[in-house]
Amino acid sequence: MATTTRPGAIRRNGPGTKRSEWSNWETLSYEDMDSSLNVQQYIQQTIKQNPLDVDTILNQLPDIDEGVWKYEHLRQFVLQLNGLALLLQEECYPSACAQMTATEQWIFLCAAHKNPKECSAIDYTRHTLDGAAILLNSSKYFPSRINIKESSISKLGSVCRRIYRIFSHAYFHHKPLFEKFEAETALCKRFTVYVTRYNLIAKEHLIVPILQQ
Amino acid sequence: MDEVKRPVRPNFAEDVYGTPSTERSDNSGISEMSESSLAQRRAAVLPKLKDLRNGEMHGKLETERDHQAEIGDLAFTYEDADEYHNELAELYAYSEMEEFGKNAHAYKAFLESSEDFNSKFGNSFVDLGRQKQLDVLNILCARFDSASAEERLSAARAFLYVLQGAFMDYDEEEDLQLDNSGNIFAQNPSSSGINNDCLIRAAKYGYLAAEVGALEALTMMLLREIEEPFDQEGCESKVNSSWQLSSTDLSDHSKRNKRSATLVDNQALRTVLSAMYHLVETIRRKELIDAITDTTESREHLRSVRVSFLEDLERPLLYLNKPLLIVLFDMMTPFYSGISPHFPVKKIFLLTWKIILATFGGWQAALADKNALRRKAGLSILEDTLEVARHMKACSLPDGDGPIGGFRGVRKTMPGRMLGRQMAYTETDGEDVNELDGSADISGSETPVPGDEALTPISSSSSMSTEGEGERTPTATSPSESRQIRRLPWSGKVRKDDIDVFMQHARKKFFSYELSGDIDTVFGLPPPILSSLKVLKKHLYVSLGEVQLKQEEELNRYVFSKKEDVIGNKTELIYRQLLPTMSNYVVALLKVLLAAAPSSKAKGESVNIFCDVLTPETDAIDVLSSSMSLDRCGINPLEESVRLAIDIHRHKEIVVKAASSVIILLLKHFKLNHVFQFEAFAQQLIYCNGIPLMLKFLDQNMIRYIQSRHEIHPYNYPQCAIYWARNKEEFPSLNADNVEIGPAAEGYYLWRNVFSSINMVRILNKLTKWKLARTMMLVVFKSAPILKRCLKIRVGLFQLYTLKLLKMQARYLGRPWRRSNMDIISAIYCTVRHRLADDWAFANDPRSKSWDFQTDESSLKSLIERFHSRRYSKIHPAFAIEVNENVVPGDNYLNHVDLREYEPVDNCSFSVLGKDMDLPDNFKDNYELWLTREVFRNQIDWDQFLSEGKPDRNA
Repeated sequence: MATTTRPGAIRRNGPGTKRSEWSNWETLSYEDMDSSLNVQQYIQQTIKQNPLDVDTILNQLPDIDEGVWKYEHLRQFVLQLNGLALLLQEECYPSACAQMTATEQWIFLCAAHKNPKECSAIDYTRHTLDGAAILLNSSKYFPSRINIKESSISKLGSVCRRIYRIFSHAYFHHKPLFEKFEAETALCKRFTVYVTRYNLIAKEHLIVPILQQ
Repeated sequence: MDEVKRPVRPNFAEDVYGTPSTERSDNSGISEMSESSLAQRRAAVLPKLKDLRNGEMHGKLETERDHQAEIGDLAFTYEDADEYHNELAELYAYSEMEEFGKNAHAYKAFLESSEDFNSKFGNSFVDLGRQKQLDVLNILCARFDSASAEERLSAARAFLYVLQGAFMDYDEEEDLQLDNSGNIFAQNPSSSGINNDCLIRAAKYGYLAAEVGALEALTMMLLREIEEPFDQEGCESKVNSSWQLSSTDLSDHSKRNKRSATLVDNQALRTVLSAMYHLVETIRRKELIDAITDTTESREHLRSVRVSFLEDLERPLLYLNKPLLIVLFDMMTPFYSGISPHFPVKKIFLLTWKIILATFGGWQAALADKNALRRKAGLSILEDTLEVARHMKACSLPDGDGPIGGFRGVRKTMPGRMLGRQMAYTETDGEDVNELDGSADISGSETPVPGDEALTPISSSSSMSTEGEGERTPTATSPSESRQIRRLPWSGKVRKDDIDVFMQHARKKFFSYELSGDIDTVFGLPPPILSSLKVLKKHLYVSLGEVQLKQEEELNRYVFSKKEDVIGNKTELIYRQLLPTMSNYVVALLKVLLAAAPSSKAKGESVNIFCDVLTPETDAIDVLSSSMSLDRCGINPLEESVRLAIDIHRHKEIVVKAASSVIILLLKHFKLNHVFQFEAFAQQLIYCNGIPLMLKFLDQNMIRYIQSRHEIHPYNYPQCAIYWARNKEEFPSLNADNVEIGPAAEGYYLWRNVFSSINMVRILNKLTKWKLARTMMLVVFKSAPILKRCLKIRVGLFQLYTLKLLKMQARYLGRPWRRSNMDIISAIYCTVRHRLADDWAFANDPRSKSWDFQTDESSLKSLIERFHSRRYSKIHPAFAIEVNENVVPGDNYLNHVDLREYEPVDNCSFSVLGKDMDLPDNFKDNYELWLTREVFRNQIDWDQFLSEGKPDRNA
């Protein structure tokens, strides 16, 4: 049982928490976490300790199921990408980036509609993140967060593919913004290592040269 | 036709005709006339016996229709679908042959464009190794998301190439390492090792594609392509069809304003649908797993891939909330309404059919479900018609123009039959003797039977089983081998209504009093009646439909106390989604069937189903109308003009096959789920003139249809693609070696046409059974001669269903018909299940004189409406019936009940607050006044309000 230093739940940011106190609680080892969402808790904790240490964050502990691990990480990526989307909002106007492209070759359709349509880049970003959230939260595909259905694992690959395009668009078209964000969170690097490790995206599609930096 | 070997001269012949001359030559043109003038006059009009005996008459009586008067028994077994290679071959039309090459080129282009994959392996896919193969498929799937249509199309083509087995890998003759572990293809005699291997690889790659989630990616692309509007103005022909007629006039294309859709308009759609079809067809077949791999773990792995694929298939799509099946159905409506005439209807229908098979299961799954449901309802389980009749032998019915008679031909079994008949009488126990006073058509004792091996003793019905296998009264001439009593493979059935009628009749006779609905009170009735009743009750068969009907009545009657327990199984969910626009789907199915009927003109119909067969060049040609007059003997595929005609006919046949299967599968599964769902669908079919359409279909030269040769073997997949790969990208040319010309071999039949025909008669049976109004439709449409001609097809199952239809109408066709078609009556007697106390063959007058068939249909309609309103009005508000709208006979007060008044009041604060309310204008104007009066002036104790009456924990 976690020791209570103050009344109420310990690992929660209650109403009125200041930014300096955000998520300011002591760390626990994974074995001591006994909530049902312990994997998410562990991942978020590791990130908070050092966001730039990609390998430690992605280091899968032996008693965690691989499907759950992949799923929870993807959830976390979608959560954190909202930060990038927020920054992009300032720059990425539909008049400027009317299509979702990275390099010149490929223009992508936004799949988060009844019929896939061509959305502007910022719309693509928002729709894709929303769509990923809907999918990851849907009870049909992921009814439980403790064991993930085999059939739903393949969905993770397509989600990753679409999410990656956000990174690539930001890198090629909004570079300063991207670099600032990356310096803080190392999100793209982590994502690249994540998809490479679990073979979720083919190498050919990883066009952001993040690992060489 | 067997000759009757008995003398034709009656014993008074000498007196009348004089002695016959002993010299008789076959070619004697002089017919022998008797000297009696009376005999001469009478004989003038009759066919000469001598000619009949020599069999010449048939030449004269033969019309164009009976081109081949009889065919032998066909070794056809009814399955859910044809074999794997045939099904895949039928997916592609011959006009699409070029696209095999295009797909291969697209794959090559893909390899060149990506750095990872060119180099060591050349173009080979099979050598890439599993991980790289998965990567290739992954990348191609990602490209389906591209906004550029050409990108998507070339990615789809490359993907389809892989799914087709990556046939370019076969181009090196000497490097072939054939993997012939899959012997399920070995039964196909015309396939060689390479074809088998290609199919095995195609299946393997299909599973790989399923692992990378191809279904979702393809579905996304399909949804995107559906959105592309049909470009009426026309586009240039991108097809270079070298094998088709070259002497065409291309100059007129731009001038035409309203042009019909052709192959060039739906390339992307066709590619995507073909890829999906490959996936569904491969993974649907469980037995392919054993053919693809050897080891147990890989088999387990494939099995789990299969399970998750099938789950994905039926799951509703994420944003659309409809499963893929409904998306396909929804494509049919814009097709026939003219909005999107370019949809490739054959592929849509084929894919729909296979998805229905994959999600709901075929006839065996339906049978298992039915038995499980019956067991659950506590009903008996009888043998299934389809299961037993699949192996039934055909009966031989003589040509309609031949001499009237029973079964001709000496049968070896005749003495045995007599013996059997004798034995049956000696073996019967006490009960069977009493059966005879019921009606004469109780089977078991007399069966002059055509089929030999199909009759096996069935253990389920006890009273009918004659225990005549072992114990015989030994006679001196008893046969050495044990002889089974021949009887029908079905047990008799009787409905509760029939027993009721029987009882009422008896009571009326003896007491002049009726107790309707009561079949148990037997006081005062004499013993023969009692024993008949006992037999009838033994054969009482309650169908699931009757049980559900009764439930329905109760639910309608007791609207408050009885609540329905709806099981949300797959069929139910699909039905719910099909329901709002079901009439559209039915219209689409039937319109396409009409356009594909063999006797229809090619382009006269409202829907053009040839948009996935015709290229813009061939579109202009008049071959289509002239192709109708193809004489079968003249089919010579070596002629170019004939090839297009063959392609078109083949296309039509496949469309009919797919459409008829979709209809029968839906009917069957809906009926299993709830009889009213079945009735709703059936009624839609009736309203759209389904019955005359199917009769029209059967009203063609069935023998010619069954033996149609609209297949060009070298052009089929996979031979064609492999040939292309091995012969420097040239397509096979037809010569006398690889094409069969001339009359068909004995016992040849085209599987898909027999299959479609069986489906048609099954559908007709399902639509008309127990419905007087629809049976009269059959009579009115003069279906009897059509069905009679159909009986020439020597397939047991087909004949069975045809005979059932004839049995239904036999009563209404009149005594003269019955008299002249005694052989059909006998065939029905020998083949079709008997119903006890059924007078199908005897009654002269129609059962009910009231020709009020409209009310039958409309009362059924109102019952169905009530059913829909009760079950589905919450989901589809359009189905709710208003008070007094749907008047059902019976207690009138029920018509005034509006159940919506009895819904519980919504007192959840969230939902009430969340409702959008339309505030009146004067309120909005005077809002501040309202606020002051109602809110600020009132004293409200907010603490008490917010605590909601719960005890204060923190206190």
